[in-house]
Amino acid sequence: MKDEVLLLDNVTKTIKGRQIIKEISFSIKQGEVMGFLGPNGAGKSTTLRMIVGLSKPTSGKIEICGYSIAKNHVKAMSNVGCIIEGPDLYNYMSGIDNLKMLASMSRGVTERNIMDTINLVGLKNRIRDKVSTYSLGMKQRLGIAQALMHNPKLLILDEPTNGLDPSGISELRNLVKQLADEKNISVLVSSHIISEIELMCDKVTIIKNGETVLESADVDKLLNNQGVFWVLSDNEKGRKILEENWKVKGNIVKEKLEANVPLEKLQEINSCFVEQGLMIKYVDNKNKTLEDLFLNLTEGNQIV
Amino acid sequence: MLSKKKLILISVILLVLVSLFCYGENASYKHTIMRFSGTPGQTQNYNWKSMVNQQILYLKNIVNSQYIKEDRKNSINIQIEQLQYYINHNINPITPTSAKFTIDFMDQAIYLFLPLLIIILAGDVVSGEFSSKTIKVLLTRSVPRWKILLSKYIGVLILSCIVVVESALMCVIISSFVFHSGGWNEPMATGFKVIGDKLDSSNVIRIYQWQYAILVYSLGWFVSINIATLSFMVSVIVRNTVTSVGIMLATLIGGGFLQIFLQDWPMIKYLFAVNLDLTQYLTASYQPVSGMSLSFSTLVLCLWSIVALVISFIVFQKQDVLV
Repeated sequence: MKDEVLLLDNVTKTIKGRQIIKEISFSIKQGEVMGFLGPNGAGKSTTLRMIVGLSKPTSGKIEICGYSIAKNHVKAMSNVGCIIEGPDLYNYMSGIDNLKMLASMSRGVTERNIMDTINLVGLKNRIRDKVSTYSLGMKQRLGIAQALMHNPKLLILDEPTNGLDPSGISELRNLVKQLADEKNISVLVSSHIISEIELMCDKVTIIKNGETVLESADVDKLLNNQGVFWVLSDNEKGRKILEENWKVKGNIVKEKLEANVPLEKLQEINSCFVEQGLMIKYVDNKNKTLEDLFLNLTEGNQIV
Repeated sequence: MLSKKKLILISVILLVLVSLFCYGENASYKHTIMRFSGTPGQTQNYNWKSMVNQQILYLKNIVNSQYIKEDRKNSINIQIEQLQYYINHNINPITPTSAKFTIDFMDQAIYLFLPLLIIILAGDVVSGEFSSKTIKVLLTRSVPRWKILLSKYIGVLILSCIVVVESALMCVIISSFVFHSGGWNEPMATGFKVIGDKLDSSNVIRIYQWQYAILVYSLGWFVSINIATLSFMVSVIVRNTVTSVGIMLATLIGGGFLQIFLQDWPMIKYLFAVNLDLTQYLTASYQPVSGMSLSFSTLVLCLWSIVALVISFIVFQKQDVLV
């Protein structure tokens, strides 16, 4: 079987004549942690809902481990664990009863699996209490437990850090990394906290107004291969030096000289500037973080 | 809401109502005895035959009065003939017993009270999952949607059965306590037929009270199942508990109004709410709209249920879950 655990191919969704999702395609390989970003109303939730079969795409195909979600819902979903928009479980039952009930709906989940998952998410002490007495963070942990107990190949987490305290967030991050590394589980995480995605994910997909603006990009490369800007004593001269020596086109924006150069070469360029008699007042990465990149890519976003 | 809690609520409602009815029936019985025999307090030894005769006389007076309408006359005539039949065959229709009360209760409850309880139970079985958003968790397991809906439906059926059995048990226990007499083995007559304005008693069969009670409660069970199926469909379609309960109550009560106001409109007999009063067919003094009979009503209810089930499954299979 292909190593693509999740495949979206030209998926569109039209609700009441309005095209909410315009041809989204991306894929996740085994063991990959993919961040799924987008501004409010971009169609993140709609896409995730289509992936888990809660709503049906107007056109295009979605496959999980090679099984189409539309044609073979049961087989496709047996490979997926998910939390969609918050961990909504039965408040009047205890945590363990919730898990047992949901476990009975999946094939081959043993008592042992359930207990292991409870230990994994750290809910052991309160698992026999009613869910209505849980804090949001505990509910989130229970939600992760129900998504994990049947050993899925793909884990879909929609806003998993909502309501978790800082230590909880860091635990979740470690858990996700551990699952991806040890059990080779693929994870699709959507979140508003971009710094979280940056720390947690290998790849990132960004959508805007129902279209992918960045598809399965490598987070590390993305952040390394960024623009650099300088503030020099003579920006015009610096631009010429860049063009002559490195064949790189620079732009002068206000007080800054901007250019796309690999970070490895920065040292070389800087010493060249100094040799040519230029003073370097300031030099920095243009997009230091994923957040800057995100804001750049999605700027001017209007909720349509 | 949790169905366990709702079952307790329904048990409490039943308990209060049945006790109240029992008390009322006992009081009105004592009042009747007093009126006819003139001696208060004596309820054990009295001549019921002479009392029934007095009742017949009273009814005949009404019939002979010139102010009474023609159709009302017919139904009173039928009542008189039934009473006459009881006298001729030595069946006591007056003294309240546990059996009679239990039967009477279902007679009265079948077209409004029982459906009401069922609607409370079945109205949120699917929409409740939507309002608590737990439907997402159910539908993202590796189980086809129709199986989830089917298990919900089976749950509704079990709950309705519990309600019918529970109301029977409550009636039996409380009325035995109040009336001190069972009367389950007393005979009673059923199978009267109305032909024109005459009562035809050639097909009348004599059965025991307990047999009749089982018959009546089976009909009650049948009505419950049908109401449960309809509420189930509404619950699937509107996905909101308050709306679904509201729609069901409105159609149920609205059907009763229509029956009174639009008796001449032939289509009315195909409405489900008009066909709920199944036990009335057993005593024959009743035909809400001409052309209706026990088999007609059961058929209409069955059709409504089948259509409702088909619609629920199609809608549930196709709908996008956006909660």
